[in-house]
Amino acid sequence: MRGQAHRSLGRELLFLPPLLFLLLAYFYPLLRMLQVSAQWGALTWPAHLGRLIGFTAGQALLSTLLTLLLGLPGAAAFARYEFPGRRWLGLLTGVPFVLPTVVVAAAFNAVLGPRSPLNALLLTLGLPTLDLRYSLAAILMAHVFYNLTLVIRIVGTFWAGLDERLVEAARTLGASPLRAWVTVTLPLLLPALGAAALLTFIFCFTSFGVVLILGGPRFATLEVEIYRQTVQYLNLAAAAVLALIQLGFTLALTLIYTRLQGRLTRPLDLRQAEGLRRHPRRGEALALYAYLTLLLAGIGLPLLTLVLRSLAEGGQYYLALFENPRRSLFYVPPVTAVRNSLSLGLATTALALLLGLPAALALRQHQRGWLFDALLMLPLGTSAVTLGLGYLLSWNRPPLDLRGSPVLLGMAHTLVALPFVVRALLPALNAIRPALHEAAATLGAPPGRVFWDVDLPLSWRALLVGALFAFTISLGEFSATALLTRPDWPTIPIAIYRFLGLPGAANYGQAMAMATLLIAVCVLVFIVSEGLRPPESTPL
Amino acid sequence: MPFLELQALRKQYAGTPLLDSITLTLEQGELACLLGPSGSGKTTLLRLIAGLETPEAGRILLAGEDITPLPAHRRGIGLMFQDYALFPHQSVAQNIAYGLEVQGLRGAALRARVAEMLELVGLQDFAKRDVLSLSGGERQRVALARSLAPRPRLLLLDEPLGALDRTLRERLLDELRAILRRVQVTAITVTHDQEEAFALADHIFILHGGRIMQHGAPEELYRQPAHPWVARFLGLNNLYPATVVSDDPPEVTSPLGRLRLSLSLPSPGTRGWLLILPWGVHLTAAGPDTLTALCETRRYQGGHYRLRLRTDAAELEALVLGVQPPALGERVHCVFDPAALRWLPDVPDLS
Repeated sequence: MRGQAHRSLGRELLFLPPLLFLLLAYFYPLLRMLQVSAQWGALTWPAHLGRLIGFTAGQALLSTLLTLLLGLPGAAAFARYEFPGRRWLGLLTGVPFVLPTVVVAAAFNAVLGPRSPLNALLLTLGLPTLDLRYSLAAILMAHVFYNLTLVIRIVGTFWAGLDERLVEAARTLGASPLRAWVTVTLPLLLPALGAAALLTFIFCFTSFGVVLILGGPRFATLEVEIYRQTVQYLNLAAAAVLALIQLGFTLALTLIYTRLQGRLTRPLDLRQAEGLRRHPRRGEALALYAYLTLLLAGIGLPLLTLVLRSLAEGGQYYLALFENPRRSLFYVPPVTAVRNSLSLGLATTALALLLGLPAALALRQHQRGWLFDALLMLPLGTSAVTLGLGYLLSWNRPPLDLRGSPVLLGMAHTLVALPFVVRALLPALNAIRPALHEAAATLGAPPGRVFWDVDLPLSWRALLVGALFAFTISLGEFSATALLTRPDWPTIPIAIYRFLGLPGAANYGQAMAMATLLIAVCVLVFIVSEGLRPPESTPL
Repeated sequence: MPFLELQALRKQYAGTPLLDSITLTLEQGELACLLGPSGSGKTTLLRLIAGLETPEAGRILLAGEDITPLPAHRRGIGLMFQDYALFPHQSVAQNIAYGLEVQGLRGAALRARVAEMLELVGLQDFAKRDVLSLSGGERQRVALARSLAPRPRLLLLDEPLGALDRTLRERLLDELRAILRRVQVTAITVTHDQEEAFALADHIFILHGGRIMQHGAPEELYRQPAHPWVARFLGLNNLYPATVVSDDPPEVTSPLGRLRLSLSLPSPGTRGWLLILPWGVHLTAAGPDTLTALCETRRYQGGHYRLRLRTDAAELEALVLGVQPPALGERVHCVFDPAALRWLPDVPDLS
């Protein structure tokens, strides 16, 4: 009965700018990639395609299994138990997920490398040191570090809502705790487990920075191979074919994930999570605290090592960021990278808001909005390296030869950030009851004024969160940037990558220093946006 | 010329008509009410008048001007929403000032009008309060003050007391009517509650299935319901299929037997409905013209009893004053006051 009475033309026009952007920044490059891939037959084929796909899928599968195994106790801990520091530890588990891949790779580089805390211990004991970098184990560890929060949050939230009486019913029917868990809890958790596993798999399948930096030359996922074919061998046709193969995989997986998520949102008599948590019993407490200690160490150790390494030598690595000792043509002082990243971040934020706000406003309570929504989300299922390659292939001819121009970077970053901005805005806008708009209208406010008086004051938090998302995504973006940027126009992640590849303690220390700075910004943004989450308010 | 005139308004939703050819008029200063069960289309009609929905056909005239094409914000029609729709990010005073600010009112004039409105609804000390901190009754008053502040030409109230509990409702009902009278606004209330309708309105439109079934003053509706449906909706349940036996003297036959009415009837043989208003059932000693019934239920309603009686062929509701009500299961004898008998024409039942 509630009306779509004033579906005006003006509202439909809001779709136009984001659609136009998608066309230029997403569909056209993909189309060009499709064209270019048609030429691959005449060119050299990357060796061992089968092995490449096998490794990509295999490491993703292993990473996913490990993440599930280590995350499941965490989901139980946060869903079912009350313990001191629960809130803060919960927040901490979310931190790795918001860190740029380069930073995570740098942190694991520090914690696994020859000068790690472990090796320091081994040295004092007179034992031979270990270098765990450039191994499958390193890749897996970084992937678990990254995605653990997905399992803990997705499964944990679902678990917290499960009706504990179902388990109690099984117990009164004679099931042991283990049997009750396997026969009741686990089957009910399956959709959440499936969703978390799929998401983790997709992220690991398209992993780039971690594999490139931590895996070294021996290992390559499809994503890394696309980059190498493009940048090292200049075999764009082969890169395009690989990108299309990968795109096929990720789109199929994303489709399955969306279906699963639909099942997730169908409530299974979910109850209020608060109040169901209890303090661990004596037997459980030991296991709980052992797990939490492990979790804290697993997340804290790499980051802490990174920060400590950056602070070595009395902070001179930070000072060195402002110098330019080599004065070579292709070497620019790190502070330039910071400046580049900041200006790119601001441009991305502005553009993503400019496009995301109309998109979210148009999508709000729109009946056929799901199609446009799906279009907006498509870039999420497309890897950034693929996007970068697409740009190289499409914006490379006069009058629009944009190769090497920061414009392409801004475009790529905005495309990656846009879905997040829309996702941040849409729930806030949808939470504004239509009656408030109608009330303003019956009091004489024209539509434009309703936006300023009602929508903006009620959604500014979400707008700010969206802006922060866009800014940090741009700040940490590595994959597309690695393909698109000119050597003399590095961003912070590019500079970190280069420093890590150069010999010498000074370069290494500067990589650590820049990574630490990035972590600080990301953690700050993370905390602010968590704090900006709207409080539960009584609906008016 | 009527102040508000609706001409054959029609509105559909997904193919089903919500409102079908609604025509009504309202005089300036009148307090009207759209009364009907949920799903009758009354809220949709209110939203059409406010300009929040557009009709598929028909016209809306306000003071002679066709306002059908005007958007809500240019109609000058106030609407008080069912759950108030107060702006949660604004204080009480800011909420009330909103419509005035949109009109361009500023400074002392604005403050004076807001203060006047606060006083009107008795919330002088609440100006700076956060609307989220208010009770239901206080929110209701803020909503009323907000919709009245810009001096709307017409005020619409959607279930104005629906969100409040019963005792609060009783109290606010008289207050609301007094305020509406004091500001001399023309108003239309929507409600499903008869008591609310009768307390707030001089003129009631009964809606059912997207149509106006009957309209008039509350007394008129009770005295002479036009359809069996209206009678049942008003809680008049002594309704029996009947046939006219003779038109002079006016007599009908029904499951309760042959009865004489005190009004004129259509020609003999016409089928219709006999309505017996509950105050017209009198208990008496057994006699030649009395009807015998069993007392099935008895409810004390403060001052009188509501009895449900059963004869061989029908059920009967009676209101009985007095101190000596029949016991449950007791056999009673009753006669009907001819002035309480009504003849209702047979219409296709819409329920």
